[in-house]
Order: sequence, then C-alpha cells, then structure tokens
Amino acid sequence: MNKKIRVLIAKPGLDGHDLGAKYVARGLRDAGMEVIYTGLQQTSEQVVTSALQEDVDVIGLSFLSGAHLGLVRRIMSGLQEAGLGERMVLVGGTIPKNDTPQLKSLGVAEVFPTTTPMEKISEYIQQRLNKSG
Amino acid sequence: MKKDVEVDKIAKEKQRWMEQFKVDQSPPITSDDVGEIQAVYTPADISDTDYLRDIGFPAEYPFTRAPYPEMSRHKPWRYSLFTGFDNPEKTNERWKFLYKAGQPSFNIVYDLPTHLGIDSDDPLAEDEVGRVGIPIDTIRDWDALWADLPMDGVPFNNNIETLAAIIIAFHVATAEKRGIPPDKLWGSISNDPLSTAVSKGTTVFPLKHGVRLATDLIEYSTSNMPRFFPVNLKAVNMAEGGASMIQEMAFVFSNAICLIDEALKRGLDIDDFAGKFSFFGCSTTHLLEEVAKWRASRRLWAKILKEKYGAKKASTLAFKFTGYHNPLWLYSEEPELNLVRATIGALASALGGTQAMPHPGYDEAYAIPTEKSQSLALGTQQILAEETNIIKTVDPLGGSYYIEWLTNRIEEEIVKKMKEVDEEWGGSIKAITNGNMQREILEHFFHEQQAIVSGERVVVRKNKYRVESEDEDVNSRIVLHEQDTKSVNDHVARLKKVKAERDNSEVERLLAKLSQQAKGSENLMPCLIEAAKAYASIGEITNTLKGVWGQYEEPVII
Repeated sequence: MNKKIRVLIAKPGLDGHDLGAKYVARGLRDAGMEVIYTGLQQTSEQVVTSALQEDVDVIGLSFLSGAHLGLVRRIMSGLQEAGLGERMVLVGGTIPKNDTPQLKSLGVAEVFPTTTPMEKISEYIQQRLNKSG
Repeated sequence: MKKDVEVDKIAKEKQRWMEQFKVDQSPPITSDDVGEIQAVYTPADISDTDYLRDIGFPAEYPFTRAPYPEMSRHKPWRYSLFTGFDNPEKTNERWKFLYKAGQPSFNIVYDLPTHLGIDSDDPLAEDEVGRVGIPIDTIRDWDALWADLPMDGVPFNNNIETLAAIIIAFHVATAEKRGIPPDKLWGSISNDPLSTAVSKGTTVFPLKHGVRLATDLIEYSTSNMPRFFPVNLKAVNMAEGGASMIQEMAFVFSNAICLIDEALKRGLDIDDFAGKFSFFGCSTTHLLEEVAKWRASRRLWAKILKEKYGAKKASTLAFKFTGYHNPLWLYSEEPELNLVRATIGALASALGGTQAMPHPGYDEAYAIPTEKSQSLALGTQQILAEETNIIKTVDPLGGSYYIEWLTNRIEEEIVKKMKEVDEEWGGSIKAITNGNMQREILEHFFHEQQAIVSGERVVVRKNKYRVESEDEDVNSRIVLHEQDTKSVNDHVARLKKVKAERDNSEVERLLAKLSQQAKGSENLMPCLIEAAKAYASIGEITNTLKGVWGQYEEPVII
C-alpha cells in the first residue's frame, strides 16, 4: 500500500508573509500529500523538532525576507544532529539566483523561487521519492 | 416628476439599444467584487442617486467627493515613499536623498526584530537586523536617525503596528531632550494591532492587550500631540495578504470601529480623536473600481461616524487615506513592467482623492528598493501630480454614470460584509481570534492564484505574451539592494555600548514600574517615555509587557 508523502512546510525566522507557504501547503495537499504547516516565527530548533516529531519525508522552508542563508545553515546542521540529514529539504520564496549554489552546498535539494508553477514542486517531490503521494 | 419621465425614457432606450445591437445576447462580463458589469451606463442606472444627498461637495457630508475643499489643486498630495534598512545612519542618508529628489516628508519602515520587540543583539534577531527596514533598539538609535534633521520640521510617518506606542515614546523622549515639546511633532503612525493580526503577522501581544496599548497612545496623543495622527489603519496588510477590495475595506472599518469603541470607553469624545484616524490602503490596476472604492469608503465612513457615533465635526467625518499600488500584484517576469502597473495604481489613488502616497519599487518582487528604483517611483508620482493636470479639479471622475454606479455597488458590498463581521463573527477581535477574516482572505487569494494559473486573470509576460529571453537575463540587468553588513554590525555594537554605559538600576526600576502599570489600567505612555529616556531597549520594554500580558498565538489556517 502506498503510504502518503509527509511534508513539513515551515516559516523560519521573523517574517509574517505566509501566502507562499500556504499556497504550496495547499497545492501539495491537493496533490495527495500529508502536509503539516508550522505557522509563523519558527526558530531553527523548532523546525527541527517539528520535522522529527512529525517524521516527515520532506522539509519545505519558506523565506520572503532575505534571511535565508543563516537560517538554512542552522536548520541543516540541526537536522544532521537529529539524524534527519538524509531527508529532502526544499527552499522556496524570494531567493536570489546567486544564492542557490550556496544553499545546495548546505544540503538543500532544490530551490523553488516565487515564480515556480505549483505542479513543478509536487512532481519534483513525487519523482524523487518515487511515490504517488 | 419630469426627472422620472426622463429616466424612464432613457431606460427604455437603453433596452432598445441593447436589443438592436444584440448586446443583450453577448456573453455577460462579471467582476468578483460588483457582479455583472454592463456594456454602458446611463442616468437610468443611478436613478436613485441624488446629487446633493449622495454626492455633494468636497469637505461636506457625505464627503463622497473629497475630505478637503481643494485637495491637490495648489499643492500635490504628500509624496511619502517609505524607507529603512541596515541602520539609522543609512536610513538617514536615503531620507536625505528622497528629500532632495522632491519628497518633503520622512517616512519609515522598521525591520522585523523592531516590529516584534526583539533587540538587535538577541539571537532571535540574527540575520534579520536591518534587512527589511530600520533597526531601532534605544533612543540612541533614534538620535542617530534624526542626527542632523529637524524633528518638528516635516511630517513623519511610521509603518509600525503593534509597538507604535513604544516608538512614539522614543520619538517624544528624543524630541524633549532636544527641547522640542510633543505638541510640535507632526506625522502619523499605524498603531493598528488588529490589521496586522489578520495579515503580515507583526502581532506581539494577545489582541485585547495590543488594543489597550494602542488606545493608550490614542489617548496620550489626543491630549499632547494635536498635530499627530496616532492611528493609520493598515488596510494595506489585508490587501497585501490577498484580500478583495471589499474585504480590505470591510475588515479595516471593522477594526477601526473596535479601536473607536475602546477610545470612547476612556471617556474621550468622538470629535476629539476620530478625526485623527486615517487609513493606509491599496489601489490596483483595476483603475475605475479603485477610484469608486475610495469614494464609497468616504461616503460610508461619514455615515458610520455620523449615525453610529453622532460625530459633528467635518474633520471627524472626513475619511482620509494613503494609497499605493498593491505590491502583491507586482511580478518577477519582465519586472520593468511593474513601473506601468504601479503608475496605474498610483493614478487610481490620485483620482480617488488620496492625501499621501508611498510607492513600491519596480523591483518589489526581488528586494527592497535601491536609490534608483525609489527615484523612478517618486518620479512617477511627481509626473502624475505635476505634469498631467488631473489635480486641477477635485474628484474629476465624479458624475460618470459608471463611476457613480460602481461607488453605489461597492458601498453596498462593504456594508454587507461589515454586517457579517459584526453579526455573524462577533466583531473584529473575535473574528480575528477565530480566524474568520484570515480564512476568507486566503480563499480569495487562492481563487486569484487559480485564475492566474488558468490564464483567466491575465498577467502580461507571466501567463500571457511570455518572452522567454526576458527571464534569462533579468539578473544581469537589474541592480538589487544589498545589505551592508558593516552598518548592521556597527548598529549592534552601539546597542551593546548603550546597555553597558547607561544606569542599569534606573532601567530596572522603570521596567518594574511599567510591569505594575501594565497589570492595571493606567495609561502607559508617561512610563514608556521615562523608560525611553533612561535608554531602556525596545526588547526589554516588550519583554516586560509580555511578562504581564503573554504572547499572541496565531490561529494557524491553511
């Protein structure tokens, strides 16, 4: 039996602009995944704890304030420490193209800027995890 | 009688025209906000509208046409592009740039730690200091911001919702140290803890405490700052959060009513304070609907203030607003086209009778604006105000059959929605706590996104008329704002120095006093001003208040 893909959508940092995160959360839900949305103002520790507690396959991080590099660095090291280093981490939002290589070198699987069509994100997850959600 | 006969004749002729040209068989066109939009509008479509009763004259009830007699005829609306980044010194520089480029006002946005009452040296503020606005921790920073500028010289407008009272305490404290009394200070501040809880999320305290703090500022300002507007409600937060124009105005009016009711409980007279309420909202490229929305808002506000509150003064009854193009509907694809979109939004605000106008940069989808993108933004407004002649008369679109019909329809819809907030949701605080407003706005946003994905809502270059090469080299042709790490580090170092050099026992004493007063119902402003003068930080003050009031918990809705 196909188990549903579990995705954590998180808003790390202080920014309260959550439309992107909610839009993706809903889109992944419509694509048949189980989605947990953290709400606003999550510290990197809180994101790691949620990922562990919810035992998710994918961790999606939404950044619209430009504070992504430091937060991703801390979250990735937290996930490693918690034994979740192999889980898929995706970043979305207002991410300058030039920052993508740095994010990937930190272990982020893929970066989806705000112009990304929804199905590109759900298909990416489904193909990589080889499940139909 | 003669008028009725004429209107009947026109109505019949319209019917004849529609049949003759088969317009009645052509597919109907609808708008989500006002329903069906007809091919043509005539006097018969606004036959219930009475000019003197419903439209009237500028600065007179029901204020449909304008809050003031001559508006921008002799002086343009207040150009008010806001800015803030890195640290107070860099913000001061950009203010001066804008001032020299022809903007006679200072307008500010704050960074996220400041919005949330987190000091720049707090681990929670890491990576966020000075990124999307100015960092302010103590009045040492305020002094640096205003170093060589006249605190009472130009209007000063602040974009901060929940901690407005603390910022004004900083402002008054710094001014008093320079020998400038509070009654000389002019400008405005959002001071709207409700709209930010609906959207944008810079809420700090549980709503009833946020409202208490906001009312403390309203009360203090009413007595001590006659030139200051202590409430500039953030309709913009709802609009930027995806709200429809009806939701935007209905929800912000409901939030205004909540604040008015609190101020009245303090024994203030409606005509003493409500005239110093203003609104900051959005226009869009739906030019004509937006003009009508502003006219409908003026008429409705006047009716509410008169019928619900018995206000008498024109200054109370007159709805005043700041409007700019909604940044939510600016895009990454061929972003230079955002210059055009923002111009149309600005035109809508201008024709709608705005008192002041910020303006998004064309690079809105990428970063906060550079000097260049702000120069283009400011220049756009200057052209609209000073090259087009549109300001030579007040409410130039008044009298258009379509505009008057739209004004009537939009007013009807806002009234309906406000009734729902009041009667079904229990007013703003309940509606926001239960997530009613948030849910509706989100549904509207998703609906619009679907329309963009399906192509039903056209976005040039994004879902129609795509030019692939435009996306490829956009990064090479746009210069984006970059954070200046050294400036941010200097700012944090300054905070550490202030904390080390001030009289810490005095700060402790004043924070204890604040804590006591927060438990009661005393107006906190005098204590906040004292604490500010002693160099208490925004983080220390906020934590003290959180210690008494607790922290806001967002109802999480997807």
